[in-house]
Amino acid sequence: MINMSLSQQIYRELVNGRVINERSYRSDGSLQPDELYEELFKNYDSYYREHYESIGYQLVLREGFVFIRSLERDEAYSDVAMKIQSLLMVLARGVQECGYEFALLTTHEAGVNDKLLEQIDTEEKQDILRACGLKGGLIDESRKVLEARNIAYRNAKGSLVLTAAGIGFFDEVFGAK
Amino acid sequence: MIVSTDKTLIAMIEKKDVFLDLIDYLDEQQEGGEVPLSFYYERVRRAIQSVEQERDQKRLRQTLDIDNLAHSGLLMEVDRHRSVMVFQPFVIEMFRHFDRSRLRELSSEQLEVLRSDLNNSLKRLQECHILQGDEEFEQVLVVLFERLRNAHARIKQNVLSLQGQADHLSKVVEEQDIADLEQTLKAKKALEEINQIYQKHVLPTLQFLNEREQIKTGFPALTAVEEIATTLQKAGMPSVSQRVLYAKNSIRAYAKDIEAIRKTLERYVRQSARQRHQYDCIESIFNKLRDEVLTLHDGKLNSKYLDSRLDVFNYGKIFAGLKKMRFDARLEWGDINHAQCFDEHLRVALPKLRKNQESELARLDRQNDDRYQQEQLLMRRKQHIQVLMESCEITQDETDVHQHIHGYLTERLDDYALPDLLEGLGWLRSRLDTPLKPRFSLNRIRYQGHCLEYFPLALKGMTHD
Repeated sequence: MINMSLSQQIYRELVNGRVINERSYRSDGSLQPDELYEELFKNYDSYYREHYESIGYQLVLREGFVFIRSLERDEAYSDVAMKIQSLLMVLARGVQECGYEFALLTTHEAGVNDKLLEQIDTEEKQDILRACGLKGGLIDESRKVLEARNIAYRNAKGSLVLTAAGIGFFDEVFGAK
Repeated sequence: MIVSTDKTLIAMIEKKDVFLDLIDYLDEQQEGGEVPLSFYYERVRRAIQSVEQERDQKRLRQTLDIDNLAHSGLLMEVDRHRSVMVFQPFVIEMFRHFDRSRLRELSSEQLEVLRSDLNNSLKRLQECHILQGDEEFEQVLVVLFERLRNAHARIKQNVLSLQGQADHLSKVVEEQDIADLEQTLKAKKALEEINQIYQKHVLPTLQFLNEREQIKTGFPALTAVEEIATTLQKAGMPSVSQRVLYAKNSIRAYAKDIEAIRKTLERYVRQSARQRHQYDCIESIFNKLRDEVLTLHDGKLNSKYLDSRLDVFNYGKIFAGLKKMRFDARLEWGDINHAQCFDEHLRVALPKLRKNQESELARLDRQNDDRYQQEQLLMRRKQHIQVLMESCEITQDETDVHQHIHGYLTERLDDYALPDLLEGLGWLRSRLDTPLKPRFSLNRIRYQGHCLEYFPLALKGMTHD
């Protein structure tokens, strides 16, 4: 049974290039199950997958997150992906270089605070980000690209933490190598 | 002042933290047993400061003085030129037993020595004449049991040491706050140590205790002991054989403890390997990305961008195709069925046409209604003029009928206009028996901005010409 109201909210999220995660961050500092993800997960095979395919999108359901990709492969097909990849790699490498474990990025209670982000945002890292079309610096671009698309969020302490989508990216990186 | 050895040892045990620090230093350096004199004095000074009474401080200073330690036989060497000292091994070993985590594990080499010793005992036993009271045989037995006791003691100490190390290091890893840099670095170091203990001590100990271990020369340690017991049994010495078997079983019993330690540490070994793998992956991909960016630096100061189709972006490409979808308002018909296209056009256009048609018809209806009403009004006005003209009398001497009717109707008809005059003239003509005769002249009547030019009319018979 499709919940029409949720279905409309899901559409708005997805066509705006945002990811829907299994758990979403609440204002009280907790991570709670996301009702949009639950609606998608329950009716993925029976409705949503085919529905989005019929309007020109591939509905991608991964472990803990969902998004749509266009079936039309134009020149800008991977541009957003490139920006996300470069930001995530710069963040992860920066965290390691500062002596922390990669888990700092993925642990809800920890995260990367602005002070550390500034420390990571060296000339070398800025050079890489600029070459990928990200000219606003690490903090701003993380907000515009990662946070706006639900690939990362800010926890109660204001530190940047990866969502299931961000973790899923690194799972693929670690698995492929 | 010279203090006796037993009192010196008691004082050392009472201040064991000093010596545990020394052990930590020795374990960290891993270079023999040399302790710098400055390091020792610095720890002793701190211990003395923690004592309240001045007399006690003085006594402790004398007791822990290097000369006193040397005199008590607790030091192996004091080299004042190099400013180092070496404690007797038993002193260090004694303090290690106060803290299990500081016990030393057996290395592969030490385990190999134990195994070789037991194999040698087997060889010696097989070579000698096994007979109660035989001097050589008795010597072999003495050495054998000494080696078994030694092996048992070393394995026991090894197990205690590994358990202590495992508890201590796993606690460091478990209790770390990953947002705290200092704790993260400590945990990293702990994981490295765990990995080292696992590879260099736990696995070799398990191999040592495994009776089926494939070894190039000789038997595994416990198999050698089993062979010794069998040899003694065959030689008619069941009680001695039994003692050997008991010793073997007591050593083998530690296999379970070592296995439990292995399982505990294996989790951390995997965690360490996973972290290493993550580190390598991120480092490798980041370096490739950086190298690609460096290729853009051609000295032309052009702000060039990387191409998203480069190989370096092939990893983790799960977000390919993700973007904010923009919609084009223009319809692109492309290669489609034109009949269907026409049908669609008709589907949209026909209702619009019908709607327009209906509104036009409604408008015409409304116009017709207005015209009818106007005609009705006109008709009623004509009838009214007709009625008025019924009573309009024209005398014989009237020379200008138009002027007469104009005056007549002006007085009696509301909204009179010049066309009403002609209407009234028509009704008058139809009523009169005598026709009207025009006169040869042209008169004018001006009224409400209009002008009527006419030939004046009079009743026939009235001629002024």
